[in-house]
Amino acid sequence: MSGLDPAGNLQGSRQLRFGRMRQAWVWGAYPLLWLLTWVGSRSAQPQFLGIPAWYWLAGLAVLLLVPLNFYIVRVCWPGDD
Amino acid sequence: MTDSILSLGVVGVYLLLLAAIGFWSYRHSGQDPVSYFLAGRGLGSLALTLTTLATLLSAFTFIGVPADAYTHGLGIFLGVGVTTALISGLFLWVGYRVWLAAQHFGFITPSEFFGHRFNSPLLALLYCLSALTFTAPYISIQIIGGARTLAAVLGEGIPYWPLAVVVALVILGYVLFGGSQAVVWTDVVQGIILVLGMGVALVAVALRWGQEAGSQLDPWLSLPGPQGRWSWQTLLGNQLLFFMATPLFPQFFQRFYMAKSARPFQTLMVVWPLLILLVFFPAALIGVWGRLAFPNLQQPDQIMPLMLQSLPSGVAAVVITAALAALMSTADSQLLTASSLVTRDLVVTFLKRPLSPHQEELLGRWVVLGIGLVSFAIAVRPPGLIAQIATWSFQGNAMLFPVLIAGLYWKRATRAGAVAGALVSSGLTLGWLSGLLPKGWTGGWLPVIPAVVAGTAVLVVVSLLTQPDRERVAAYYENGPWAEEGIPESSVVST
Repeated sequence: MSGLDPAGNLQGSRQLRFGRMRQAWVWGAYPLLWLLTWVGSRSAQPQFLGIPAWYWLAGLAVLLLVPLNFYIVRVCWPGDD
Repeated sequence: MTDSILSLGVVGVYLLLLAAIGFWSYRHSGQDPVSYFLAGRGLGSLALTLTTLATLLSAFTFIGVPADAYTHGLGIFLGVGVTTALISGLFLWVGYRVWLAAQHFGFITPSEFFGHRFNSPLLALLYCLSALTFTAPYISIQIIGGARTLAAVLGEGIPYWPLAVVVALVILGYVLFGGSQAVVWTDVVQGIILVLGMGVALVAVALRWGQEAGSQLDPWLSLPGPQGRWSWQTLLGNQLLFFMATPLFPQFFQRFYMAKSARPFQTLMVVWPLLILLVFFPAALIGVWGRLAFPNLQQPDQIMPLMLQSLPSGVAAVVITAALAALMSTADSQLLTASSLVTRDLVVTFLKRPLSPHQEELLGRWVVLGIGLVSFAIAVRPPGLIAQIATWSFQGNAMLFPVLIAGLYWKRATRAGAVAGALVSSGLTLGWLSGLLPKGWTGGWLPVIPAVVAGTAVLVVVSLLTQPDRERVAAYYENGPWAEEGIPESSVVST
């Protein structure tokens, strides 16, 4: 929670706003991954290992949340903890 | 016979381990509310991650999800699993922010946040009552699931209710004596077991049944499923339900208070989707593949225990232990949180009966016992399938979502607006769930969805017509827990 530079509010504010701009881009990835989980879900074919492709794709979309969240934690988390 | 002895042995070792943790915690935890209910606000990354996971995953995950997939196909993975993974974003937007407030103001129960943020004892009471009303049936699910899982270990012939007694007694035992220290550390053990157990189950079931599916399962492998249940509207409704309900589960919300710093939230946010994937991805598949082994089940809740019976005994024992871990870890957290709601919110705050920390902690134990008995009474005659009871309970928890978000992010939200929005949202949800209001008014959605939309509209309109409590807003946003996140208004450039 030390996002602002106590010695210079303007500098701190710029950093925080820049962080928020990047956040705005990043948050858009959540609905994109969510939409990805719907792709192909009305068909049981094709299948791999007896599991439909859309199910694998939905699993992959969930897995992609890991690097996305990692980026948010590293770049967008408010303050330095 | 040998198989049963092996399974009983593994499960017995697991239950003894829980008892040992409970006893150790009883000897080592402090005798005050923060120690008993919040593990001293000292959880690091590992403990917070595993206790949050184990608290959320329950009999619904291990029994209800496979049962739903058995009947309606893989849609439950999108409806529940994907949403549960997506809520990882809420650990920053909700969890971390709530934690900052709890650290600053010393909250112990979730109600205290709502009551304090809006300076409204009525709002705190509303949250407390709704949480209690909808938590007891959910605890009963865990007892039901536990009894059915134990029946799978012991085979046919043993009545249901003695097994329910065993499950209830074990959970009550370590919650009563060990408090949150015991709950958290048993959650750590249980979290590891349930992730490993579900992975083992997937591999074992896939090797046994995965290649035999052919095209006969196709209706269960695509949406909307064989009975058309997973239409886009049902799917979206379930996703919204879980997204709104999960952070408001009292036992989940209280986990936000337990972290010792921001770091555990960061760890939790990163690893959460992977852990959820490891559990939900197999759960739905096992339910669908269950159709190959047991095509005409009358009671779908039995599919997971029955599938376990078809596995080699050692493997089955591990997975049965995982199932017990999932449901026990949820029930213990729910019991403890419900106890804190009664003790602090009802007795201390509303009945204005001042208690010493030791008296408060002692009363908390008695309340755990009382709620456990009520939940057991519900479990003796299950009122429906696990997934049905869970959906009903989740709706009760989601009712106050607009108030949560407004409380966290909208300075202009007022006490009158929050109370009015909460009353409308709760009233409509309860009216539809109880059948007092015509179901046709919901437009085909789960009742809580239109109720939350109406509640949000009322919250916004009433807030704009009234004035916020400036002192309270300042206490949070200007010189309180959320102050440093704000940009000084003098330096904000409009965009």
